[in-house]
Amino acid sequence: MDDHRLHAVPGEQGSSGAQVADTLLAQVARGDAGAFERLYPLVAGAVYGLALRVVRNHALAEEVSQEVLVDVWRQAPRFDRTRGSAMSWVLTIAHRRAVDRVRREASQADRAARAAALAPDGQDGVADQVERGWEAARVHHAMVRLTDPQREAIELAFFSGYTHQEVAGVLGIPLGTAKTRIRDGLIRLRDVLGVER
Amino acid sequence: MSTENLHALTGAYAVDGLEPAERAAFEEHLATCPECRDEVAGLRETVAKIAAAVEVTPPAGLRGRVLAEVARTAQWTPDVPDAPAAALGSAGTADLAAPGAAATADPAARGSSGIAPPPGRRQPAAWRRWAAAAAAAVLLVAGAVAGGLAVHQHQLDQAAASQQAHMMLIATAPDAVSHAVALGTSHVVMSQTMGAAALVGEDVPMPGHAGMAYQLWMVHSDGSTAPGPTFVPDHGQVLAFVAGDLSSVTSLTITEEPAHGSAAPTGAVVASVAL
Repeated sequence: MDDHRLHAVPGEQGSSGAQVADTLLAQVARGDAGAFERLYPLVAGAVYGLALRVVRNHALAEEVSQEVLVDVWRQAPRFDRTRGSAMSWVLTIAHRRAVDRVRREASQADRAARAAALAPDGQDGVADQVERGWEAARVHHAMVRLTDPQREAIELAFFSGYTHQEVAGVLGIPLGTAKTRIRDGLIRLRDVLGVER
Repeated sequence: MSTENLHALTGAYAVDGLEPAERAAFEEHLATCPECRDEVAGLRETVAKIAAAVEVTPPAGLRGRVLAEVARTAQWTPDVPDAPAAALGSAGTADLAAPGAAATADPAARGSSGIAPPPGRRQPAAWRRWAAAAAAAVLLVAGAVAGGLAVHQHQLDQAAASQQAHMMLIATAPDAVSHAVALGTSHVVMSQTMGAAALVGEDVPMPGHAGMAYQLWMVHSDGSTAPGPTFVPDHGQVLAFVAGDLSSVTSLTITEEPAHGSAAPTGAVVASVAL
């Protein structure tokens, strides 16, 4: 019930949490280790969740998460909040790291096999996984507004770490179509989620 | 690849779906295309929201290992305002248009992605040790004169080296001028031709309120104020850079502001210097 109460005011908790992360990261940028400790619980779950989704292996996800979180500390002086939120900055680092790792570690076939292993009966799609709170509900709502081909292309690229060439290959579509599906899908998500830009 | 084709890559770039060569080409394009930059930033916020919705509780041991590694890991320097990579999206680089909240260049660390860690950077908080950097600058001058630049340079922490190089460029410019600043024992050295100024000081007291920082401001002849970097003394020492066209700047002021800085001064002026 606590959970219900916390999310009773749509968006409020999420936005204040995001602002706290922005402020803390700015403090981390000045070498404030205490601020980093306070930032950790705000971002670690999302970093680990994303890493796990991409690398599909708990030990590897933990390793990637450690690299990412140390990178957050190391690179914090380069964070510019006028160019994006702290969470977006952190998850950009996390995703890049996870994708680099999965491309290095596994062939495309391996990745497909791993994806299948963690996704029995195809139940591992984004729209099925997101589960918590108001923000998650909004994301779910946005994901189901995509066309199936858009959702498929974004999931392959974002969560399976496929390049857009690989997305085109796997889906048997022209490269230009793959590019367009990814971009159009993301733009629709952006608009549905009301991301400011 | 045509510009139009490049523009279509914003989505693939935002989900890290480009091959390395393509990624590099697109980042080059980003540096010159504000439209793509904005779109990438928005799409990155979007995928962050999607990613953040799938939180998974990390293993219990992770926190301890991360904090231990952080304790022995040096931070990068802030990015330079004129770095080409500053045009990047939200990967942690400075804004080209920002009036100069930045220290100095570190070409090795300024990878196009802003993500690949630079090699061999383990000295804690090296970028703030301006005193060491300043001393090294003297060595550098001597070394350069003797033709032995590399001999000295290899001894320097990379970040300190680039900071002192930046300071030297300002301080040794033909038109460099220096002004005392009533904040501890500080002075500002500036050069119009370099379009840059450095505040260096020691025995600087901590800001009066915990969690606050000093912020440097450029006051223009028309009375407008442009924000500069925030800084906090490290063992009493401070070093801060501003960059940009200083020709219409009539004075620099320092106020106490929240740690992340303000867009316009909100605190009382703690020091001011007419230029």
